[in-house]
Amino acid sequence: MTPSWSATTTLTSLSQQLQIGDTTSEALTAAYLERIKQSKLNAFITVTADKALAEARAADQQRRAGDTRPLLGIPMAHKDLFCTKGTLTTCGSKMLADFIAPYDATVVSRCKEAGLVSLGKTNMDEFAMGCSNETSFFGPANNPWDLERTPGGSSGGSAAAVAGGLAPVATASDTGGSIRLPAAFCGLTGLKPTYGRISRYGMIAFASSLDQAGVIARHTEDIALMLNCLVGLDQQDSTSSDVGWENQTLEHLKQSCQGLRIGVPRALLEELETDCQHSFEAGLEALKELGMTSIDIDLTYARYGISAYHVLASAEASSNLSRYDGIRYGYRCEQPKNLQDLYIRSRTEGFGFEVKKRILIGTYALSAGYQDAYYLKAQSIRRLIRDDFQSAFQNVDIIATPTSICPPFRQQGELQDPVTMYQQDAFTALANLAGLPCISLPAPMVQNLPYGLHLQASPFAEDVLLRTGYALQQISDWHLQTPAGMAA
Amino acid sequence: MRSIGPYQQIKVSLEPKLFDRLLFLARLSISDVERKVLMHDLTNTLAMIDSIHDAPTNQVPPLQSPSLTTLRLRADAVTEQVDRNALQQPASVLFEGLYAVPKVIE
Repeated sequence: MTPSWSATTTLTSLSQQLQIGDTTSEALTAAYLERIKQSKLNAFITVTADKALAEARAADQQRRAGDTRPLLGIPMAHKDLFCTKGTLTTCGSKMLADFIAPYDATVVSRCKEAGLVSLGKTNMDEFAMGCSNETSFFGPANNPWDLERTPGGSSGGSAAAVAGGLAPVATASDTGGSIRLPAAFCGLTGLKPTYGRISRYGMIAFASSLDQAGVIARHTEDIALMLNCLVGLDQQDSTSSDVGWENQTLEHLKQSCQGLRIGVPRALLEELETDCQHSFEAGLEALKELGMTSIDIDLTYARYGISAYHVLASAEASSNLSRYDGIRYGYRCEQPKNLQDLYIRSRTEGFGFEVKKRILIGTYALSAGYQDAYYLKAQSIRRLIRDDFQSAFQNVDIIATPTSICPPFRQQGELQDPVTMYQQDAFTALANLAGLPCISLPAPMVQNLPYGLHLQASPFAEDVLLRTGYALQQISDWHLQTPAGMAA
Repeated sequence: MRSIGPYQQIKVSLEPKLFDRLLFLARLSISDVERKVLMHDLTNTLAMIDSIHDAPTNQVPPLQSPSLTTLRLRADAVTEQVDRNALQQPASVLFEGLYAVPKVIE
C-alpha cells in the first residue's frame, strides 16, 4: 500500500503502520524519495536513494524477524554537517564539496543503531554561518510556505524538508539559533538540547562552546522519540554529559503542566512588531489555559547577548576553520607556488564571503592588542548572562520569548544589511551562551506566515520543554498548518 | 581563572593596514571588488560588536564554556586502531603515504 502523508502523521503512527503491515519501510522510503525528486525546495545537497532503499529493505527484514524498535525503518534526513562514512559531507561549502568522511558522527551512528533510514544530507548555510540558508555553496533552500522566502538557517534544508513533506524528521545543529529559527520559519517544532546532551563527535565544528546537535520535526512527541535515541554520554566527545536521561514516553509527555511558572523578559520585546507581539501573546495565553502562570522577569544583560555571541562565535570559528589548509582534506588550489600560496589560495577559493567575513572578525577579536577587549570581555558578558538565567530560574520554570524578530523574510536581499541579519538571533543566541535547552513551537501565523514561540528551561530540563510543547499541541492546531499542496 | 579589569574603550576603525594584517593572519586574500564590500560589512559588524564595551564586567571572570561536565580521565590504554589509509583518503595529494606540499626548503 502506498503510504499517505498528512500533518497529523507522527513517527509513532508511521511505526504503527509498519508494525501492522499497512506499509513497508521500502514503500515509505520510496514515497519520500519520489517527493524529494519532485520538490523545488533545494532542501537536499545529497540524496542517497540506493543506500536508503537498501537500509529500508534490511529494516523490513528485521521487522519481519520480530524486531520492534520504535524507530526501525522510518526515513529521516541528516543536516550536511554530520559526518557520514562513505557519503559526501559538505557543510554547505565549496571547501568540502568533495569530502567523504572516513567515519560516522555519533548522531549518525545512533540513528543507524535505532534502525532509522537516512534519505540523504540536507542543505545548510556554509559552515552553519547564516540564518537564511543563502550562504550555502549549493544555493539556498526554499521555504515551502513561499518559495521566494527563506526557510531560515542554518538548518534551513532540514526544516524545508520536514515542512515540505520530504522527510518526517531531520537532524540539525544550533550555534546561535540554527535549529529554532528554521523550525519557526517553517511552522515546525525544533529543540536544541542542553550543551553536552548530545555528542558533537563528527559534527563539523563552527563554535565549539556553542554548537549543539538537535532535531526538527512537526510534533513534539517526535522530538521526544528522537532524543531518546540521540541523548547519552559519548566518550568520543569530552564535553558530552553523563547527566541521566529518562526515556520520554507518551506517559511522560502527558504529565500535567499545571503550576509551571513562565517568565517573560518584557524589556526584550519592546521593539517587536505588533502582529508578532499578538502571536506571542496568543501563545502565552494558550500556556496559561494549561494551568501555567506567567510573571515578568528581568534579564539585565541580555541586551549585550547578540554582540557577545558574535565575538565568541567568530573567534571560535576563526580557530576551528584554521584546519582547512588544503593539505589533509578539503579544497586544494591548483598549482600552488609555495606553501603560503597553497594555504592562502586554498582558503580564499574554498570559503565563501560570509565565512571569510566571520573568520576575519574572529581573527580581529583574538589578535594581539584586541583579545582582552573583545574575546575576554565577551566571555565575561557570557558569565553575566548565564548568571542572569540562573537567578531567573530560581523563580520560574520556563522563560518565553518569540523565536524571531519577524516572520520569514524574502531571499535575495530583503535583509541586505548584515547587522540586521545578525539580529535574527537576538532571542535565540542567549541560550547558546548559557548552554540552556530550548524549543521553538509553532505559534499563530503572522502575515499568513509561520512564526515561533520560544521556550527556554534550566540545564537538563528538556523534559519540561517536551511536556509543555506536547500539551500546547494538544489544545492548539498551529503545528498542523501546512503549506498549500502538501497532502500526498 | 583570569579576572579582567576595566577597559579603555576601543572604537572601531578598520584601517586598510589593519585589514591587510587580518587577511594575512587568517591566510586569506581578497579581490578589489570584494575588499570594498567586506571592509564596509566588517566596519558595520564591528560597530555592532562594540556595544560590549558598555557592559559592566569589572571583576567578572570570563566564562569559556557553559559545560557543567567535569573533564573525565580515562584509562591510559589504546582503545582505537587508526586506519591510516582511510584517514588519508580525503587528501587531494599524497606521495608515498605522506601528505604532499610544495617544496619548503630549496
